[in-house]
Amino acid sequence: MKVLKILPLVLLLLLVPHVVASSQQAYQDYLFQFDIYRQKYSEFTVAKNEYLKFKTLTSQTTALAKTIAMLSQRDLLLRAYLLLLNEKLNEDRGLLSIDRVTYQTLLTNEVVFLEGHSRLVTSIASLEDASETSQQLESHYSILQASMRQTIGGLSLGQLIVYARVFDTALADARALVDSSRGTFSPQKQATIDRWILQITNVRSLYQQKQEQIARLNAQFKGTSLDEQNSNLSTIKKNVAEARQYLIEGTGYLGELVDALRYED
Amino acid sequence: MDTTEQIITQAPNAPVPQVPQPKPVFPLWGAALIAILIGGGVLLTWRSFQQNEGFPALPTPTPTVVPTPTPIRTLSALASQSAFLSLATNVASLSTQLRNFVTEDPSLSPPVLDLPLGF
Repeated sequence: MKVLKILPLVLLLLLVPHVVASSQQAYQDYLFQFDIYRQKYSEFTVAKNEYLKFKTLTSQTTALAKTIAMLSQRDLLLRAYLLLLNEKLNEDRGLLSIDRVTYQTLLTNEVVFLEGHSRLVTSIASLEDASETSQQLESHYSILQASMRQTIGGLSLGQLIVYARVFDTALADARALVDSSRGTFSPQKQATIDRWILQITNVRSLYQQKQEQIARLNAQFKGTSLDEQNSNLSTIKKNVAEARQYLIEGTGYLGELVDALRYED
Repeated sequence: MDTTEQIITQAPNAPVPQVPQPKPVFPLWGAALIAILIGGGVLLTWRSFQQNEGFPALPTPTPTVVPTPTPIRTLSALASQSAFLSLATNVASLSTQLRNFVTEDPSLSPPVLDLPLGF
């Protein structure tokens, strides 16, 4: 009976590392799929060149087989990357659940597309079919890449929000301490402390404006070409870096406030 | 008149042939100059020894280290409270985390694929 009571606890402890490392596992799987894709793409390139050079039935058959294998692996690779993003979203603790669900819906739509595309790949019977099936992915690729980049922007924002929450807790604690100790410091020092808290609050407001700007940019993420999308993602990342800088500045001020509270004079 | 006698009487008036004196190898004034220089050198050396004996060398002064006094600050009543200690720890931890926060995660770079088949 005692063993039966302990068993669920043991199982839970065994499962915890797997839960924590799920994004790591997804990343390893993505790297593995990428390696296989590179190999299949290389084989496809060789077979295609031979077919274009000799135009024999044998080279055509080989080229078709290698093309199907490569296209199939391409879908698997893209799905592995989407899974990685999904796992990162699952681990995120900063985003509001409604935002997380929005990003996960984007990813799910792309996975559904890739699953449909994979089914088409298995029914390819000729090189013309292969070209047509590949073009379906090509025409959708911009949307797929935009979804990926939008999710990356969301993940960066989520990380920022986690730190902002810790900052807010620390600021609230500092305020509570100052309020509870009002009267223990000299009036001059008390005025300085109050002014510092106001300055910290101002920095927090600047951070908040930046966070809202990032959320707005990410919600309206667009770009017809990959270059445009990369440029938009860079803008978001630049704003994330600036928001982080505000938090660093505010935390530095909090550190000074803590030092001021530590001593009487 | 005897010719021999004439010769003898004329001898004092005749020019006496001069024997060439050997030129000195080193001129006298040069020797005097060297002597003066050596003498001066000896004198100066002697005087310097005299001075050293008279005035012993001063010890090299070494700077005395005067430590800057650390101001003694009185801890406030808050400093020992658990809420304050917790706040100090949280702020220090947040500061470290923010400095280590990488805004660009390299593991999340989207795959770049060459899509057209080229047939």
